[in-house]
Amino acid sequence: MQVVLLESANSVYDVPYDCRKDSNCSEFRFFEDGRQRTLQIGYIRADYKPNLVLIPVHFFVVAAVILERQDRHLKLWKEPRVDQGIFIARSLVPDQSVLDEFAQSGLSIVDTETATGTGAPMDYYEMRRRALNRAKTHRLALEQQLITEWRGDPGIGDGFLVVDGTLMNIRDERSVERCVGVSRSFGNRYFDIPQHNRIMQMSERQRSWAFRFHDEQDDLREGARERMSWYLRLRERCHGDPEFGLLRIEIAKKYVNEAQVYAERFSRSLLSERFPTAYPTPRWDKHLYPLGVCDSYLSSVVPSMSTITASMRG
Amino acid sequence: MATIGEPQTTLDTPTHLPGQWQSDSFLNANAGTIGRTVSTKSEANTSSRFSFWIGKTQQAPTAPDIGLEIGNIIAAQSDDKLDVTFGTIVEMRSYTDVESFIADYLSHNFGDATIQVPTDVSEVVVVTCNVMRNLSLRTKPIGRSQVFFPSPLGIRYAYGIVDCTGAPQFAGAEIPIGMFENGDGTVASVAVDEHFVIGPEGAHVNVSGISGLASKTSAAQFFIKSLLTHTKKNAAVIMFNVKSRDLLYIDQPNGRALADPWSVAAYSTLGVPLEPFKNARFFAPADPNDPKGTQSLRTLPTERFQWDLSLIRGDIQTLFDAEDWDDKTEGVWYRISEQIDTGGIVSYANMLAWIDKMINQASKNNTTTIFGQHIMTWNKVTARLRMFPKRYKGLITPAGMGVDIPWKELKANSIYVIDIQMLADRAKKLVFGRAVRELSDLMETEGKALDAIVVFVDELNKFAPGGNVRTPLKSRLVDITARGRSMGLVLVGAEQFASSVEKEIIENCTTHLFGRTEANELRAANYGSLTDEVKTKLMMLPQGSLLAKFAKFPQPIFVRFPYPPCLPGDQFKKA
Repeated sequence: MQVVLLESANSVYDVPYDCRKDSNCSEFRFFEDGRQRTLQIGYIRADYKPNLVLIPVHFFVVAAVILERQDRHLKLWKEPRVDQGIFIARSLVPDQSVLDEFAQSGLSIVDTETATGTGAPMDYYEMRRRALNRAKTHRLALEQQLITEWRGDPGIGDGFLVVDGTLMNIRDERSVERCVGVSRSFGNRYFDIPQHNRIMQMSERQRSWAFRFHDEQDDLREGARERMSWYLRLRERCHGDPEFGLLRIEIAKKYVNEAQVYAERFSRSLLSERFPTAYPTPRWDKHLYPLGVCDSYLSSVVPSMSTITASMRG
Repeated sequence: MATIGEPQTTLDTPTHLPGQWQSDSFLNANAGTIGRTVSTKSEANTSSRFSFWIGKTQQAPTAPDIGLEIGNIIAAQSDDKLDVTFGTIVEMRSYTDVESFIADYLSHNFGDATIQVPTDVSEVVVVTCNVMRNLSLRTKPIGRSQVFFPSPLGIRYAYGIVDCTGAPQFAGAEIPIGMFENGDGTVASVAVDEHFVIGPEGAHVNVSGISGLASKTSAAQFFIKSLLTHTKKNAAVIMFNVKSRDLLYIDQPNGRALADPWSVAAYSTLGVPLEPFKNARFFAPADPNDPKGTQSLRTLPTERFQWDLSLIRGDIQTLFDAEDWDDKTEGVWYRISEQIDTGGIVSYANMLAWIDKMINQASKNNTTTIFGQHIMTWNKVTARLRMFPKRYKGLITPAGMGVDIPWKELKANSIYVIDIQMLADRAKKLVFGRAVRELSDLMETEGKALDAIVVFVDELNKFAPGGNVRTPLKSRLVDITARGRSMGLVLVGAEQFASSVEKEIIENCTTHLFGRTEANELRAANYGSLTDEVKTKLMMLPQGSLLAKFAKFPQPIFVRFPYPPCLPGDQFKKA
């Protein structure tokens, strides 16, 4: 991970935020989230003598939605994107007419052989892994399509879109320009341990220094993805989990020249978005209410696992 | 016997076939869709209940304001438009996605109520309805449906007043009881079936509610006016004025009703003339100090009645204390009655003289019993009998011929108002009991001129109290409410608390009108079928509104009725 500091990392920064005056000061109007569900519904037995191949068949549903806030109420910006279908290693299926039946019932057939993988392509477990990977990329692609469409809408004006998760998955830089990615779980450490500990000990309404980063693994042929980022503590950790109420925010690299301005401005808005809270749901400390509503909405349009199980196996 | 190939006789199934109706005609499309039915894993819709959420207002800009509330009627049209299910709102719940009270507290910066958050919490109002009826007439849970307000036709269909083609469903005439106002402003007349009000299918009406707030008397007056206007039968009415001047000027116009546009419109819509009762005659016990006067508070002409022994002998028991009237007393009275039957006693004074004679004779003969009853019992009975003419002066004449109420002059549309407000409770019971007996006899006579006599009495609980106390009057009223529908004697009773009236009487009424009712009363079994929210509404019901429960209605309905057509007694001012 290549990291460049945009502000001094010797100290953290207080976000000028007065809860009494600023509780309603968020400038965000749009919020995006996506969801995926994958369930293995069976397998196809293919006898390629002398090899017997068991081909797993996965049903998937992926969905993405953008909500717009008007007069303190959320509504659909546009109809959500929902796609459902079958993940399968297509070329291995001996009787291709089986796939036609799926297609005729309105399901997309997605070939998992194009998914990235490390094992032998005819290995049962490898095929399952690829299906699950494919689900994620499929969902991210759907989200990206939706965000690109949103970016092309003249009605959004100078509004920003709060995206649940990292922006590193979005390759369309024009779209990223108006997005604010919010990550609530962190796998990477961007700084050395003393600096990182400083972040972990931030108080409520403090933010870290802004920095920019890009992934070393990034395929430059697809366009280097570089983002500006910082951490923000939404809630006081009270000697508890050092990640309690901690977010990492990403915006486009376009704003690096005004890093402090944007980090402060968006931090103030995000501090407002922590209300209403969702206590005592899991991770309530990092909950941003509009993203929670996106999640609830997606739950209502994506069938539950039990429904999928019942309808596929029943 | 039918053979194969021959047309078979088909059973007349009560279901409607799609195509017999246009489901849109049962809906008020102008008000738009108001929500969508929903069931969840834990709260299923059933054939008797369903829920829907209220959506964003979708109505046309010209549509009236929408305000759903308890008691409103809605129509849920199935997505295939093949069925419409009507429901009455019995519960409204507001849900938010706030996880806990403390979450909301935290959301306001640890308790700062002035904090405004950027996004309002998601809120949904879920409405629960009792199923009334559906177009298919099938008993089944509702499916996914869009919810509308019903049209006036839909409302009348929901209450079983008309069928799916709009044709009347009642066996008898429609007797309007008031106007139903729905949340979209739609107003529909609500009527009950004559055959279930004055027989032969069912009968009797009960009105209950808090005195002074429930407008029981006004409701009864309007109802009786409506009944006399719309009935196709020959019906007469007897009203008992039990308190103040309540019913003493029902022959006078009500200026307040005439000046109230809503009342004028309601009378017009319901087809009831806004004019006082015609053919009303007023009766009251004679004034003991004025041979031609009465004891009534009515200052306009009133007819007097005064009863002699022959008229009250069958009801004399009513005047005794319940604990005084035991087997021994009844034995003495039996002997006295025998003497009356033989013609040995012709007047009240005559009766007292005969008893004195019997007691004196026994004293002289040093016997302790007279006709097998102890002399002390005779003494007790004579003491009571001696007291009655003094206590009920004017009502009971000790000497001379009595003057009765001309029961046999009752004809179609006759109204007798019998003023008994000045009498003590026992005398009231005597008059009421005797009247009921006379009217029963009249209605059981061969070749009677009337199909029905409606008896209206307030404070019914005094005449037929609930509980184990058995009195002859109560037994007679129970009998009348049980058999009255076939003989045409109809009781319209009113009281503060329906629970204080004999259960059998209440159960025999086909129509119940509840005005504003106290919380304590609402805990009684009579109200067990009502939800807590309907009860809450009943506790706050404005004057002029009632909850009507009718045998043929699938659910109770809140109705508004106009001011009575006649002058409330306390508003009369002598010119």
